[in-house]
Amino acid sequence: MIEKNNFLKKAFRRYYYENINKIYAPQRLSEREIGYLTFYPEKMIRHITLKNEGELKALLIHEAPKSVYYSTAYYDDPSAPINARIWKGADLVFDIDLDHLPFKETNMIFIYICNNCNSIFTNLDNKKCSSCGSEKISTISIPTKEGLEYAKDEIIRLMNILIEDFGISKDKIKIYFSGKRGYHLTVENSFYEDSDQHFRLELSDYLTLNGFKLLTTTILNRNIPINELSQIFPLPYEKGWIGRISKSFFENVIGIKLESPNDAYLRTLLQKYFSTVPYKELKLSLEKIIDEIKIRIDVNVTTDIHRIFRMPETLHGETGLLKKRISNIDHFYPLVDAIAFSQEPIKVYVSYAPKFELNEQIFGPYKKEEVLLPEMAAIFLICMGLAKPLEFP
Amino acid sequence: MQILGEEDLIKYPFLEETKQYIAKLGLTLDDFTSNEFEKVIRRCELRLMSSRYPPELYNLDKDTDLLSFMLAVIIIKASQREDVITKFAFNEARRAEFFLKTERNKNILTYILKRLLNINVYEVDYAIGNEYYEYAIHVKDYVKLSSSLKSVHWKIVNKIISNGLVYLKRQELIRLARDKIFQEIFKRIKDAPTPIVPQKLQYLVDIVRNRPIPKKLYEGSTLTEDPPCAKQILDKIKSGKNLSHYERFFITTFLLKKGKSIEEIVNLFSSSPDFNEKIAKYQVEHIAGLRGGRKKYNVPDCKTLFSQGLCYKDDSCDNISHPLNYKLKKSDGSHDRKK
Repeated sequence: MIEKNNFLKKAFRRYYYENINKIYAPQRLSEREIGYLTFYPEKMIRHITLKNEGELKALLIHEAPKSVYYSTAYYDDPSAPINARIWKGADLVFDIDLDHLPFKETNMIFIYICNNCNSIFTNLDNKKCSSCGSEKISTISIPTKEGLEYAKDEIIRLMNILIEDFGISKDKIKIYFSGKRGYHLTVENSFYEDSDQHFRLELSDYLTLNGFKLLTTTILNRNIPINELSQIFPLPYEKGWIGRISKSFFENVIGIKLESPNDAYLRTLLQKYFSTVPYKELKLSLEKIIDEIKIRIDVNVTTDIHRIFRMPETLHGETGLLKKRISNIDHFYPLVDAIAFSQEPIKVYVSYAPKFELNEQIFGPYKKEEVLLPEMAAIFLICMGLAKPLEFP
Repeated sequence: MQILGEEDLIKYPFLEETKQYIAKLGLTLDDFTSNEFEKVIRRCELRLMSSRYPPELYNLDKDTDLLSFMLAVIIIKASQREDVITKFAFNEARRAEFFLKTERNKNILTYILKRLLNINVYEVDYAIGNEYYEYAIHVKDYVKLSSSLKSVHWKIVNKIISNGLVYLKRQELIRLARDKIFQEIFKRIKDAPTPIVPQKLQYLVDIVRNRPIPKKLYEGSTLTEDPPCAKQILDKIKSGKNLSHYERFFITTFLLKKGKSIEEIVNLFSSSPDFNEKIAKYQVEHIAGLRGGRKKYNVPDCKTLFSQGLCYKDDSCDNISHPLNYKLKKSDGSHDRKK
């Protein structure tokens, strides 16, 4: 049997070698810290400075890293220890991961591997291995097409809020498929670049509606007569979150389509609704809307001003897919467009694989069998730890 | 520049314009020793002595307000009592806030707010229901200006934001201005060279020097092992800054849990510029469960502190979810972070 990491490293190196013209450096590369993860021994190398794109390309081919990262921050001396550098600013960054979105069966396939006896399960009862009883279990999650579409909606909503509420122009926003379970959004060269952590915390709380009390203080917490309530209730075109919440309220709770909303008409609808529905129900519907409408970013990513973040157009070591820049999000299909490897068949031993889709081809399920798979699918399963290579391509 | 009249300068004596106005009078410190300035000296004494300004100082006095303010600034600097600088700046900021709130001329109000805040202030005319917004400022400026205001009301998530601007009600912008006035006055005195005060006015310096020194400072034994959130607040107390309601609540629950007595905690708060012993004692006793609903309050968890903007999590916190777990994990040393 071929050693897995050796196989992957060779494959990654070959990819970088053959596709080196597709690699481009993030802007102001020399002001960023670069880091990467090696295949074996698995080790994180940090505090590297690269002067130019050429050095980046050389690193990718020479090291063939499992994953490559760049700091979202700009420093005067990126390779100095973190306390000795001068921080000059950082891109705004956001990570939407299926892990942070409300759980839906159809979004991800979960596989559990017992670290003790290597048994594989699709259901984990009592957090224990059903073969040997061990509690040391690794979880592997494979995003589905539906799941990634779901995450895409979230990143689009995020983008719209950054544009509408924070006045960030669309050309400063870049969206990427993360290479695994979600999407990244970065804002470069904006007015917000020098924002400190405090600002980024506030921004995160704004997006995630953390600590949102605006309705409680204006509408929900007072004993306002129905007549008055229907007059002061925010309408869908109001600015910021209030408008979005109102829009969702009209569309989903009152149940009308807002094509050409007319104030008087909307107020009449409110009057009618408030006179039939108890206060408690109103409160519940609004709370439900707030919970649904918030943007589920990974707060740690956005608020960490020294974060290193996966580099665009590089391979994700846990999937073999690319972190891919998206130019037209409506016509981007991650499980097609982010594929790096070929259709060349390779023989692999699959310990377990559910039915999954890549490049519009359906594979699996497989269980403890030798299979001939296109390189892209073989590497996908090998990266996930579900298969072992039996030959080199 | 002519927009401000003499009355405005008296209301807002810390404005740059007042310096020019006074410079024109060509006075020196020695001049204040003459009898004709007796009324100025009396008013200056009021400014120096009061831990909270009496109503008298809210009645404008054309002849003495400006000069007594300038003189007080000099005397306080000469006294080298930092806690008095804080208190004075706080009182002056409160006084100015009062005048801003009652300002009838919107042009003047807007002009002064712009001058004070030194940022772009946009006049808007926007209402949602009964809520009326008159001003808008950039969200980045807003976050900076509101950073010392820790109530969730001031979080941007509870503000109307559009196109990079935060919409504010008049009272809200004035409240932000108050903090800025405080900082400006504090900085002005702090950065000024120490003046030489004529012998005859030395007694004014002594008034300040003789003001009771707030019982200082927390002398707890394990301060270094408090989590960053608690440290942050204790540092704030040490430097004589005001705490928000929630900061006070959190630090009280935290210190009670650490075994501090009610007296020790009240003493600790006594260095705050807005300290009122009776109220502080009542609040601490209330939190300790000795008053009101007799409910002993728990120390809030990390998540709550985060929402309250009081979480200053750093690497040393590891993954604790409650500030009281901080020391536990630190002391047994078992939490090496995985890379």
